[in-house]
Amino acid sequence: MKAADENFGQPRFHIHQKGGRLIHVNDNQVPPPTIPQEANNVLDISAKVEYTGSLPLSMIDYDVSQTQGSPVASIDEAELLHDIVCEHVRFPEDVRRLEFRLGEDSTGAPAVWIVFVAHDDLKPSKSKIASLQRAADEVRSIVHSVSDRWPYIEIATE
Amino acid sequence: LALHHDLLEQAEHLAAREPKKPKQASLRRAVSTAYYALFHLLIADGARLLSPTQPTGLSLLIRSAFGHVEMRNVCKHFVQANVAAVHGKRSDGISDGARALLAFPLEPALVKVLEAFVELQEARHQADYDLTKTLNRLAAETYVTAAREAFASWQTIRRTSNTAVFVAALLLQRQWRR
Repeated sequence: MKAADENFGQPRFHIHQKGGRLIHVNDNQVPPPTIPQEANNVLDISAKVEYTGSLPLSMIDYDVSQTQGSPVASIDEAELLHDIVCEHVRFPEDVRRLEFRLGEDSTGAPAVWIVFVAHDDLKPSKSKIASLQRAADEVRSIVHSVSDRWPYIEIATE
Repeated sequence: LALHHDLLEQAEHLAAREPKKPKQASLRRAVSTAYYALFHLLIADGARLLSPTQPTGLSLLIRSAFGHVEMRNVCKHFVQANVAAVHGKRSDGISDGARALLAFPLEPALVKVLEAFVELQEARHQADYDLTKTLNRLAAETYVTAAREAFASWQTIRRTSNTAVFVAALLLQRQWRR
């Protein structure tokens, strides 16, 4: 199987000397996410990423280790968002870890789910919920400023 | 009490049921009901703002004209326009006429309501249709709390100029953008 078949629908990210480029394999008519030139934080993503392709129908994974013979590295959009969020948001201790999932929401729009994984709690206190909501508000604000994906916060327990 | 208040109370009740082992049915209905509470709050106030008091049935008729998807789109567009405005930019989605009437940045309380509506509608969709996921009490209570806080936020901005434009957009944005 060719790499192009294996990764059908997945945007490719190639690292060049001064930046990256997404190459689309198919076109599902979903507009690409645009990243503001002046994101409200230190990291200037637009200098590093140029979107030229369309979005995949499901989760995006920019792992492109076998694409068309180019000097290749990979970048994961979810990982990028993860790094930005972790850099700017202080999470309550109840959040043990974060998971980022990319895809489309129930209306078909580009979305990112940020999952707060916390301890199971059958009787959460008001302060616990308030601290989770405060973190959720901050995450939404950061994601809105750097991505056109709509951020949805989920709380999972373990 | 109005329907939206009853729904919110019911959502709180459902989220807290079965203290030791909550049933998925209770948690899912709690999330779904929390969304509908906010939905009915917005369309009740929307109809009140947009319709005359007479004839009495007209307000109810106007309520029935609000649509879930269009309301969600309006909420998204307002949030995106607000983010763009904060960064000195302009986003698509809001008609020029409506944009000219809005004062940016939008009130944080209004943004909170918009965000909550989008979040809760998606959560409702998952709660009602996605059986691959298991809801937990913490998530359900957090969604219900988000609805309750959206109610409180709404009370602080329901008479503002921006809110009036927003409410009209909930019903008319599609026509304005033609």
